[in-house]
Amino acid sequence: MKKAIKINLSGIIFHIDEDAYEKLKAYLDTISRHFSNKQESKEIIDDIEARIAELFQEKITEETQVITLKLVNEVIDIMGNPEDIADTGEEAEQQHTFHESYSRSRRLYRDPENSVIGGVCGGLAAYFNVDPVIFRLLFVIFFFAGGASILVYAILWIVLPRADTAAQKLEMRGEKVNVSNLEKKIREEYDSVKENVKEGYTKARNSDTYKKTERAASDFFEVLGKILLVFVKVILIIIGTSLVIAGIGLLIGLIALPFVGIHMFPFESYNFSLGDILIPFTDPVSVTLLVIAVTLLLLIPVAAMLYGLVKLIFNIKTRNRGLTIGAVTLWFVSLFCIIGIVAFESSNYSDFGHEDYSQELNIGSDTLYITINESQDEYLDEESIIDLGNKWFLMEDADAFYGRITLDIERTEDDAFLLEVEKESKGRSWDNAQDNASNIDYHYRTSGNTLELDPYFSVDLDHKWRFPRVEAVVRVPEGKVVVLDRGTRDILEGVRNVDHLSDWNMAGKTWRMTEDGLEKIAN
Amino acid sequence: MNIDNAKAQMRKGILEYCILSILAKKDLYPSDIIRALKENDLIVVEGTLYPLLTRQKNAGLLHYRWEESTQGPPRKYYALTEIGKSYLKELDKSWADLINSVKSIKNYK
Repeated sequence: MKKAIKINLSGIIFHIDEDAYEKLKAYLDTISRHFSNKQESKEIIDDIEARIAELFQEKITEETQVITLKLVNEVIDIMGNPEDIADTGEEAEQQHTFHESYSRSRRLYRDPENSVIGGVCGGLAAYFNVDPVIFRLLFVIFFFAGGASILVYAILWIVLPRADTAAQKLEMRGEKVNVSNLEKKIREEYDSVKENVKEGYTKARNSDTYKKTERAASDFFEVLGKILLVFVKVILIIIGTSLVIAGIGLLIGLIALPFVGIHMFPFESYNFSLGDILIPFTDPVSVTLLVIAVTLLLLIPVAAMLYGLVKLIFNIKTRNRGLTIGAVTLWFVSLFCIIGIVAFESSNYSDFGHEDYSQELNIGSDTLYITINESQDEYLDEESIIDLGNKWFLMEDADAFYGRITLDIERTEDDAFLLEVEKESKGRSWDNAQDNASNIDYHYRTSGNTLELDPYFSVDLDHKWRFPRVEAVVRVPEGKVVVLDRGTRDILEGVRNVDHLSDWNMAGKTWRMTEDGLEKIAN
Repeated sequence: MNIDNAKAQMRKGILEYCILSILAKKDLYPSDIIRALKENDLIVVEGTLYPLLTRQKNAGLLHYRWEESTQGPPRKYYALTEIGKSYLKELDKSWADLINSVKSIKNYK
């Protein structure tokens, strides 16, 4: 499949393949460039176009409606190559002598038409026939690598002459300095000067004072302005390039974030990635989608800013609508994706369920010792990789998530000690929440007059984390005594006591239950 | 020295004369002129004709008028001007002289 273009050739509409069009246009342009007199050139081209139109018409049949590259080549063969056509002109002989007397030579100049500061990079680029951006980048990179490039640039600026005349510009680009090239160049320049003069004239006529002041001050301000401009440009380029480098760093960081571990806690070497944090809460597909969406959401604006900055610094003028539309669309898709996933995931926390059980503690004594299983504490201290608010733990290699329980001590009317355990969880429905609550794994042990509580409950990895909680309540009959071990300080929460001690300070002491709550009887 | 090149130079020299001669009989548009020149092996590529026509017109030897065409765009019909006619007469004369000169050179002992 090929793209076809509609052209008007001498008043007739033709459909022409894109490549054929390029060829034909280049052909006509080359011919017109060979004639010095513009008027004459236009007339000749018009005639040639009319003839080409006629030839096309002869060659188009019912089957071949479109002008192909092959057809254009045939017609060019009939018309002859541009040099032959131009050779019929009068100055043909003159041209030949010039062709021979000037050889192809290329010289290093500064390019005033293609300059950011002094045109050094532009000139180098013209000399080596590459894009000036390459040299600008090299200079900037070497500036950051040690600063020597500024000196090199300054020397080149001083040493290299500026390509001012048409002949110099041709030499700079390595084009042959012959009459036709020179003429072409001069005509181009003449045209642009003519435009400028025309513009300047109208401007001057519109404002007479403007013209006068400008003339008087121009010499001084021109020099001053140029120096200032260069100064500002150098500073802008340095700032801009630093921003670009910082931006590229940020970009790499953003891309790497979801995939590579980061140091969340610099003082403890816990390594995990964004994906790891989310795995306990949702399924891997959602996690992957979310990570990609979040990355794009952040990445696209940063990349866009970088792109704009680079364009600004190096004075690149390109517009790529497709890219812009694509990027904006992708950004919005990411945004909606995130909103969708979050909405879907949050529905998993919409209902609440619990499972309770209680056990009478027949200890045959008036004093209950409450201790905790310290081995569990040590295990979590060593193995956990993520510690959410010191209450929930995610383990690196273990088969479960862990959460800390809370312990309350209340009065009971009964005669015996009682332990109540309430397991709670969220879920997308009541049934689901109940189910989640019953999946919480929690243990305690009694031996003699000692109650040993696990400070943590666990939820195995097959189940998602739906904000599980376990609350243990020890009910103590009035007048009986509890001894709280030091280790309980982390799990005690909101225990009423007449001494108004904080939970932390209640641990490690001996308490008797009174009507108004616990009363301290010994340290 | 290339023989093709030499031939081309020769043809080029008399091309202007030939164009004027063709137009002396009848007003024609460029494609007709091309046909005539091609049939007589005077040009190889068509493109060379147009600069010549334009120069001759600018020199006042030719003028043209637009004529509607049944197939395609309007055509430029070229014709000799008064200057062109007298110019052609001069060329006719010098062509005859040239032929004589060449003949006599060939027979020169």
